[in-house]
Amino acid sequence: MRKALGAVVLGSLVLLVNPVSASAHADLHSSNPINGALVSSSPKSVVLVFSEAVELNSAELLSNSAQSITSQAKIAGATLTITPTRKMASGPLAAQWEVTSDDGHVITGAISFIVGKPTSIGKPVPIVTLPKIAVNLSGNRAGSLRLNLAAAATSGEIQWTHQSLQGPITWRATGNGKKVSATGVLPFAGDWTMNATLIGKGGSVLITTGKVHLV
Amino acid sequence: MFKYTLRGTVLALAALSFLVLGSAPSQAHSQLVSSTPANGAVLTIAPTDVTFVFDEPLLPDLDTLSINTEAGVNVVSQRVEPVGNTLSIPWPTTIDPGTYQVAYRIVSGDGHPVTGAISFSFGTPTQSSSSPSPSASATGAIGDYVVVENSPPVSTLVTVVALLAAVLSIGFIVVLMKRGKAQNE
Repeated sequence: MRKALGAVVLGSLVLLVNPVSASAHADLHSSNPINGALVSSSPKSVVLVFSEAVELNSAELLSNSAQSITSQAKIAGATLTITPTRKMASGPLAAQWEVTSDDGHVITGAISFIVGKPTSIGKPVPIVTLPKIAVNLSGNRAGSLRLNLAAAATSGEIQWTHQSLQGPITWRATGNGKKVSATGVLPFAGDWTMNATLIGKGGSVLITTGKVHLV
Repeated sequence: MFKYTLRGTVLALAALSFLVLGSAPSQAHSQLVSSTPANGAVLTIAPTDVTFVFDEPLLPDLDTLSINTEAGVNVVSQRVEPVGNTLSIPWPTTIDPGTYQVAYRIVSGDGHPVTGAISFSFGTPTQSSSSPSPSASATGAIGDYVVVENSPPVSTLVTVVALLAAVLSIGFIVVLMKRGKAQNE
């Protein structure tokens, strides 16, 4: 019975963590506003530039309650422009896309930023991960947040997924070989899944996953 | 020699830039097809090696495999030369039973880096002694792993069961034959 339970626990944890893989085709090259930015007023449009020309499948803007904001999306070569029909309310926002690259691969992703003043981020919250390293998120409310991970890594990326997003929001992580940190905007409340790929000296790779609930 | 190094440097830079830029997840270029041990496997003894099979040949020079503990501590990290579609690393004999992650970072044929990982355990898992905190949204800890000593190997168990079955069936046949005789008489 104990053994069976152990196996079930292990099985579910393994399911949670793995298999994990990430790669790049047509990457997001740059955006305006940049991912994680704090902008003083509602931008006229959100511009996303990919590393190569893409075909647009869908793109939308999402409010801080994860509701779609009425907008128009246009693609010109590698540049996707999403223009809201009205001025957007202040607060955290997200822009997400689904495009198809030349080689026929469908790529989804999202960026997030804050219009107006930074929102309250609440209390710091630990994130239980597997493999279990000490991970702390600077707040439990949607907004501009910082993630600290106790991992012997020097770089990496953090991908955040949410049921309202088709693709992940990606944060770049930097580290000193002992600790790693990353900052960005988590725009909505609810359950977020964190998937961290951390690269250490000598090219060691650690992939760790956890979940956090924002109120 | 210089050429070789230059190519390595260019690839390393390409790999690095992708990592730094961050990538939208999508269908991976080189995808993991299978691994031995399989992801999530619970083995009684340590594997002799860990092998990954991908769907296409891998570029040499830049493929690394890392073995991490369930506490996220890197035990081994080394560059591994691919053989066609496969990457393999011998399992260090000094590693204690437990749960491990083996993470790969490869460069697929078109120069894109791909990362991923599998986890498996060996030895006998026991139930976690510390229950996961209900408030902390994620799943809890894996418990300690112990090796069960003196447990009979599977082959011995099978032999015992087979012998028992044989004895029982012989007994059954004998009883049937006796009954048949009694009825005939």
